[in-house]
Amino acid sequence: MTCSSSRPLCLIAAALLVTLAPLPAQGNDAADRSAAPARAQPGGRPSRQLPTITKPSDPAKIRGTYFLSEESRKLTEGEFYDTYLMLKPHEDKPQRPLQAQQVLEHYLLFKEAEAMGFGLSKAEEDLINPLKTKQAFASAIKQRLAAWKITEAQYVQYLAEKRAIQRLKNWYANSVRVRSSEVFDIWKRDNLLFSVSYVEFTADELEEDLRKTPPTEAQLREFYKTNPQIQNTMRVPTSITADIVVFDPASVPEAEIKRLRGSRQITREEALRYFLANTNRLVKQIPSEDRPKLYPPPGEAPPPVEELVTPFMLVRQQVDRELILGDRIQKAFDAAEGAQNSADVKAAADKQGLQTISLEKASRQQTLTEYGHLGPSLFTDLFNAKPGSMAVGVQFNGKIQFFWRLGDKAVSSLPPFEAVSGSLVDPWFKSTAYQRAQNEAKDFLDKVQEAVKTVTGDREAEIDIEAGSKAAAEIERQGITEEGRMNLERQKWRAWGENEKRTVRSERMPEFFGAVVEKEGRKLKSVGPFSFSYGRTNRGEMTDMDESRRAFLQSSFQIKALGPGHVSPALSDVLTQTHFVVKVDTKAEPPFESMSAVDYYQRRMAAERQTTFTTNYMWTGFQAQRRLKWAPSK
Amino acid sequence: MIIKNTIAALIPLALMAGAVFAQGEEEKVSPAKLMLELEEALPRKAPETGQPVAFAHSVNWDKSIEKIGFVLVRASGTKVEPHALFLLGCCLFNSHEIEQAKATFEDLKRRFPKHALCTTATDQRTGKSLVDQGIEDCGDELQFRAVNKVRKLPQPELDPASATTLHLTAGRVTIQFYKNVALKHRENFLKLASEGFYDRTRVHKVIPGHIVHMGDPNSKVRDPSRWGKGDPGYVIDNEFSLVSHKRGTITMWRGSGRPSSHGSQFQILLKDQPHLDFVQTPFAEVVEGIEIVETLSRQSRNQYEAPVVDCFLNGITTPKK
Repeated sequence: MTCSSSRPLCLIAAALLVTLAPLPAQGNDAADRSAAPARAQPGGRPSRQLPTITKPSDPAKIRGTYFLSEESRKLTEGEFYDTYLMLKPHEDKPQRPLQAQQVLEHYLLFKEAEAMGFGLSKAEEDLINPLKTKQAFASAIKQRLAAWKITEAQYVQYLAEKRAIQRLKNWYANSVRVRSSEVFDIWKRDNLLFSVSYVEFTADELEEDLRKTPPTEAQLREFYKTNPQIQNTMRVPTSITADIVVFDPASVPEAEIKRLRGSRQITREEALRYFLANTNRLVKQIPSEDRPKLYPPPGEAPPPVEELVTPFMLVRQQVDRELILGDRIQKAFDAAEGAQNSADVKAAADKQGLQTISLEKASRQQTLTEYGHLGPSLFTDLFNAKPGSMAVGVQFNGKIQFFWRLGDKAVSSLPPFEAVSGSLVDPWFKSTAYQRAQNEAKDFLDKVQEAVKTVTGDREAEIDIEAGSKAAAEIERQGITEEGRMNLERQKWRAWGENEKRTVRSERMPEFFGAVVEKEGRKLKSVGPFSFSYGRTNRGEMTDMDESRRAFLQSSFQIKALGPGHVSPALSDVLTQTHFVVKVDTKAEPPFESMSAVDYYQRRMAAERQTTFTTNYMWTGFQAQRRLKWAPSK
Repeated sequence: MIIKNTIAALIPLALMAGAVFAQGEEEKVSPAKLMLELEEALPRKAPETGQPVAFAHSVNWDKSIEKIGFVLVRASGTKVEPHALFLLGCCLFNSHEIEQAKATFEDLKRRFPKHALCTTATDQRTGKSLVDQGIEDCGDELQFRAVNKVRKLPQPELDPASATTLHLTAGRVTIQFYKNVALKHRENFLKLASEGFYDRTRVHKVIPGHIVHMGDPNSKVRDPSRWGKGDPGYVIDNEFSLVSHKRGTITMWRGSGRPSSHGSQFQILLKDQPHLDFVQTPFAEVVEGIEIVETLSRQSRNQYEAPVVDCFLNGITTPKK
């Protein structure tokens, strides 16, 4: 049987030999490795060697214990070493030597698989033994086993144990289910129905009032000094002053090229030399409509030889142009080298008939916008150069050629107050109005809490006392004498107390919320029922401010976390310049009928991604140690 | 559904005929072979570390039930039978046949009470045996469904009559749409194709072995900095379905942070990407020419992740009405 006649079998044989573990490198045995000198590090310290697995002097010694089927079992050093020898030919790699931890995990996983009935019978072992199922490759496999110095029985044992472990994992992967009740629980957490009442504190109303009195200079100075947002709007950006000489060969009229070509003959060899020296750049300039000529569509008959084209042929015209015109900018560059000022550069460029662009305190944004055709890194290159220096040579960006001289550069700076004071007045009004609205919201909230405290004050005091006595009792029960630990315990009970007080206040808050609203003459608004909709609405496009405010409330994480009757802290919305104090009226679970089929599958998929789900099917060796309560011997 | 009901009906027959099989058929169907066949029939395989397991919605449970049922019928009276029963119960649950799943688990427990699946093989979360946990899950599910109607999504079916050809510079790619899912996406794509919207657009982004991205009108102009930012002026509502994102799937791009599908840009996947399920809307599949797309994805790219050698979508041939 020749290889050509049994090609599929040859391919399978090749695949089989590739999948079998490679021959261990010489000197890779554990014994050799342990005897090898440590690799020297700079400074003379030896590199850290991983612990090696060696043959035990006492095979009967107990390495550790584990529990299986409610029985305590022992793992001896001899059994451990036997497992190591079985795994070594297949899993010990030069770059990643087999570790004791891996051997232990394999052993425990296999024992677990066996106890659960996933072990393979003799008949199954025969069915997975390639020495019996793939007779054609038996001799090749036997050679490999001989090189590994293992017997057929050891090889089959390895295959059987690995198969048993995989079977265990597969069975668990198929046993995991997500119940509809779990799916519904996940979905309803994100779709609870809220109804809320709220009071608004808008900056607009206050701004009108504020504008009656203009700010003082001191107030404006303080505002400019302390407000980072206003500083950013006033900041003078980084800038550069430079001259750039630019040449686009494509801009030279064809008539001029013809005229110049008359006096400059370009041979094919010269053009080819130039092409080979600039291949990457030139190939990228091949027009899109010409590219298909280089790659005839598959499946179609190839074109005749005389119609075949090469990249050089497609860019020949460009090459000729660059050669004819190419030294123009190089001459300008040579003349401009050592230029002392902008005028020198311009003179050098004019002599060659080239364009000069003068940038005067140009920012990064301006450079990118107006001169993006010279490359995205132009500003960075200029800013990183020294004032007065030139580019290292003629630069290319596509077809365009250029060089530059940096005149000066300036880092970003904040202008003095006097220069910008006129522009600060409007922002001052807006910012101050916003701040005052926020203060009003906080004052309102404080009043509600004070009103609540008139009825809960006694109970809160009782809670404080209770927290103190619980802390003392716990300290005594645990026999704590160290001051640090005593303080920790007291802190823990103080936190408990604060939580209890918050709950007590929250329970009474709704009664007083309405009363304070009325007393302060505020307008109470409401919205709902709605479900939380973070990210689903684009508020930037809304023109109706009331709608935008409602959308803000419907997507607030802080409201989502509140329970029925709870009052929020002051919430701020920059977009509408409004602050809110919100009371949750109702918080109800949505009905299952409102969950669409798509929601159901989406949430089920989310459940399948959760850690608990993956833990159930991953069934790693590391977890096996925990499950079987592995305890190494001391 | 017919197959599932047939299999479910066959279970008691198989059990009754167990003795006959056990005595006369061992030479033909050894338990060892049946066990290996059962392993091959598993709908889910435990993945390598870090890889996700196949999501339930992307598995063809009917096919798995058919295969496992076939093993079960022949495994009666052998040690393979309890394993086949257990796996059948798992598949029936995920296929929404809860009553049959419960019956299968209960039958397994009644007939093999001392088997490892009913004793030592336990659920990691609850500590109960796998079979007991299966029975409990089925009971909970039946109770839930007695009060709430769980809606199912239709199984997607390809429509051979919708065969459409994408004429790329690199070659021709034939795709088919689904006849019962993502119909608005299909309609939108065909409308844009018939208007010539996609003609002379470029493949503007490729990730080798992963995706090929096209459909941007900005890519008609040779300014790579603008590619990926164009659209037809509208978006389409998502139309999620049970179609799983696999190699060959064509999915409407969504872009991070957007609530809806893009109006024109789409991706051809070259690798299974289940994390896109219920995130983007798949609306077609490549039926011919995936190797052309694969080769295209492995070309040299520039800094914009576009192929250095331009590949145009020269035109789309839509099916004749």
